Amino acid sequence: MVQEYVLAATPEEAAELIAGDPEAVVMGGGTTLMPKATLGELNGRRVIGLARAGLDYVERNGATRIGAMTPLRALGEIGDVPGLAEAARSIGSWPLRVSATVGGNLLAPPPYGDLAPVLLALDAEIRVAGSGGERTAPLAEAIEAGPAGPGELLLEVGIPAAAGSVSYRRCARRELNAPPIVTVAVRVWADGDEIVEARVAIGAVGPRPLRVGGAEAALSGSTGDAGAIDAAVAAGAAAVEAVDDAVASAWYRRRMTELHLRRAIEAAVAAERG
Amino acid sequence: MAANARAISFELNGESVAALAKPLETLQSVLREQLGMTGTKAGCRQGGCGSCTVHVDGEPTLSCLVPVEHVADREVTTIEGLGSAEEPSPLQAAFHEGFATQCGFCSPGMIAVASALLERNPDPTPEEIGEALAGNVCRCTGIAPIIAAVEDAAARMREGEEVRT
Repeated sequence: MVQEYVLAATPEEAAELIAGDPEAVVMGGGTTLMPKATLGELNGRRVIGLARAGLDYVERNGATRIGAMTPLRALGEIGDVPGLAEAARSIGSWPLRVSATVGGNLLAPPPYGDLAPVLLALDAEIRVAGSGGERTAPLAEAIEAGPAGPGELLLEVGIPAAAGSVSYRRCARRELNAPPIVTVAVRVWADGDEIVEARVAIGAVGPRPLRVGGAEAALSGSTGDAGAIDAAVAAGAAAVEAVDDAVASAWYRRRMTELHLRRAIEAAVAAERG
Repeated sequence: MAANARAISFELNGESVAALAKPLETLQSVLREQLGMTGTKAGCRQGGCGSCTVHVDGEPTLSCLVPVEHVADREVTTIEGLGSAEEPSPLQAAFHEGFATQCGFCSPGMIAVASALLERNPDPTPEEIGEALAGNVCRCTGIAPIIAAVEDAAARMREGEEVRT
């Protein structure tokens, strides 16, 4: 049996509890940890819960600030942050999205984590509380080390008002409620025919989601012509460390990465041209 | 019962109830083992099959993934709260008459999600029904009779509305 389940009442209390007990298990919506608890894998552990910690909110002010405990169900209702609602709604099933949270999705190991590519493409940053106080970091940097380490609490995801057009693609063995083989998010913004800047992010294919600088560089300054897209796709395929698992082989993941990256770039460029 | 057990009160099918729960005991376990609501099924207990779906404050929720602590002071509705054998809801009647229930194990979860869908969308397309029910697994019917039953229930409910108004 779980030793104790402590529900924090405020973000500050949650941060204090977590900093004071780095050995404790931190639980958000419970979609990945409750099955473990039911199987007895958390027996003897102290679990700190965030469900009542006041981290379930979406604030709009040009930029968008999303509390780490906001359910994916609520994200699916945000219509005007390009790609975000679509990515949220592609995850699991409706009842699962009622419990699953933004923070949990960012911290869960692959094949979970479908939000990360679109958040990377939108230049999201995260706010984290730790023993040394609060810090903010670009998500792209934070993902390298893990968004929140032992003793730390992921508080919030921030998305700046985004220029440009986004395309999100998710490849899975079934259209609905299936783990992803690869997820791709591409954002481009153009000035006339020229793509001024691009974001290319890929998830689910390897050990962690990543931004592909080489693909972004290939698109930036181009007109989105076939040569630039070929170069971007090649950079994306080279950057991923595709894994073999029960969902797909590494070979298939690489092929699907190339295919869906190409389609996402083409769709984003077409949308930006209007 | 362990020293860490806690009394949790919530509203179940319109009535106040209380349960003594172990830390991280699931809502599903409390409903079935303590409160006698065995209409809520225990299938995979991993959030993968949908058979344990109930409403929490009107949202379809996987009761095997929710610690009962999370529903304190909230409203929970199980299949027993949606209708009875004597007075079935339109969805229950349509499932029964349309052979959308065979072994019946998935039906409470299917009906929990479908009723939440029809509250929000009284006239869903088969695609919208399929999308809503994507997390609910059925090994008997082949799903098509279930989607037809939800359409049938939606039609009955729209007709009922017209008769009432």
